[in-house]
Amino acid sequence: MRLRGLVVLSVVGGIACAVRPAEAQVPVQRQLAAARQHIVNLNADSAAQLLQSVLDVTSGASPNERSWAYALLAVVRLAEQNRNGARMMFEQSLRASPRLPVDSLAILRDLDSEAEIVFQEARVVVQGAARGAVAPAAPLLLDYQVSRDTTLSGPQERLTVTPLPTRPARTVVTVRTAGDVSVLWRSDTLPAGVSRPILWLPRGPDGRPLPDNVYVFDVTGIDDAGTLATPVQWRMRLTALPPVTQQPPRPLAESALLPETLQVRQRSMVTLLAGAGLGVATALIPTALGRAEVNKGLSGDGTVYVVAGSVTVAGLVGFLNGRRAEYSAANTRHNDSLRSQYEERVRAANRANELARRQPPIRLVREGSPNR
Amino acid sequence: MRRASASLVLVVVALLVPGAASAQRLSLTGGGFNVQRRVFLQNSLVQQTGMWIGGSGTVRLGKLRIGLSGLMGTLKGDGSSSNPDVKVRATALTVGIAFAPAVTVGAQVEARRFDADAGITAWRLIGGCLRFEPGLGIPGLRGLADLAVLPASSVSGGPSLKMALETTVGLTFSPPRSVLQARLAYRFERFDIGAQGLAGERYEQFRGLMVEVGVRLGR
Repeated sequence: MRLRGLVVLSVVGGIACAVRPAEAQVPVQRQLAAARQHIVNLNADSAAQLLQSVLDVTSGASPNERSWAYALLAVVRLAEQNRNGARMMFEQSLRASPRLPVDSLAILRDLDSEAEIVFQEARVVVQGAARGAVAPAAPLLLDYQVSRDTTLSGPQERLTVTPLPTRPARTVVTVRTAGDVSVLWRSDTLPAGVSRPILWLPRGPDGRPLPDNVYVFDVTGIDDAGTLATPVQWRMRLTALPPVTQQPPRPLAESALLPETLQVRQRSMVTLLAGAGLGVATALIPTALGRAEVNKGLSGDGTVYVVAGSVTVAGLVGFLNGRRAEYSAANTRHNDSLRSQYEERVRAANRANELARRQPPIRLVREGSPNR
Repeated sequence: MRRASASLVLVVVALLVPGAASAQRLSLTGGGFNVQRRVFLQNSLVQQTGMWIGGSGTVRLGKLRIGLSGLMGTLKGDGSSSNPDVKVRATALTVGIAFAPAVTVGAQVEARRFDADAGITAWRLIGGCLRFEPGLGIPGLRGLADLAVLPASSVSGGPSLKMALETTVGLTFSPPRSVLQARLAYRFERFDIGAQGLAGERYEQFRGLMVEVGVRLGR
């Protein structure tokens, strides 16, 4: 009886001890998620209250959770325009766990654009304090591959930039106009250990080239330990080249067109009669219209027979080789088709040339290149 | 009066020619008339021959046809006082309407001047004209039959003409897609002049081969 009582007591005690950590763990994660949502909803006070409860020694939060809570609290401080407070919170975060804030840097950046900068400041402070105790890590260096002189002909052709960190690190490429501090373009973050080119399209949304100017390229990197790489920078001069246009198509040659009016052979009796009639009339004119007194002594007028004969022969030839004009619908359709095709070629060439003028090739030359 | 008429004609042609060249058609030709003139007067017959040269211009404005022509040359007689050499100048204006592509009907006014040692004689010839130009089955080749009957004709300061007619029959050739044109024709003219005073009736005939070449401008 005593033994059974002991067993029951042990089970109850075991259950009570097992339930306690589970109850403590879940609320911390929920609280962190709720605090993050409060930050998104601009409820800084509510977020701070939740985070303070997570950081309470009785909350049972793990070091990673405490680190994350400090990081979120730093964002809350930033929302309160308290930059120093934010940096201190980041320092606490790094001391609680040096890894978590680095991994979650993108989330923090989404919550507040200044978060990354202040975090880096805190990291420098924390690393500087740690240097006295531990050996400094090897410096993270960056190199890059980019063409010294390249021409981007197509409207979608891009400049390739390949960051080359000395050890796996996340890298970002930014572009800005020389003399301008605002970033014109920022690449996606290239994950650590991934080596592939980053592509930059130096054109506007309509495909027109960016203005002729010098553009400054910056590559930054950070490894998983939060070590920042020394940024590298170079400058490239962008020049829009003259568009490559095509010659308009040659006009249709007359020889390519078929006759729309055909000369169809046709013997016409009217032609024969007209020629013969005129010939006879010509021959008879002097005697028919002239006076006998005046014509007296004229044995024959050669010229009248020359003309009469010519007219008669012309009528006969016209009869034998006579032709009449006949409209050819097939040839007309053929010619219309050729003209339509020609006009379409002209329109296509005009369109292509218009596009080429709007999206001319771009030349990018690195400053210091011998091709300048 | 004659000078005023000629000036008016020139003005009309000068005004019409530029428009016709762009809108319609202008034909210009030059050529020669190998002419034989026979004159019957008081039972005697004399004959003169010569070469007249000249030119003509025709404006086609739709169905309207306006033509101006001129010929000049010398008719050589036998050198006697009854058959002397005569210088001739003829100027004619025709206005017609093309009722069909091959048929034109119109009016003609012509002045003809004969200049001989004995003096100058001028004729005024006025009447109607009919032109028939049938196609002969070959592109650009057409027949030609031109008849002018000029009943309102007279000798200036002299008798009227009892009969005046001019006819031209032959061929015209205008090669397709070419501005050139050519004409070969036989021309025959008859003039019966009424008696005046002691002089009896006088019958004159002109005949001969005509050759002309020219150009066509416009549509």
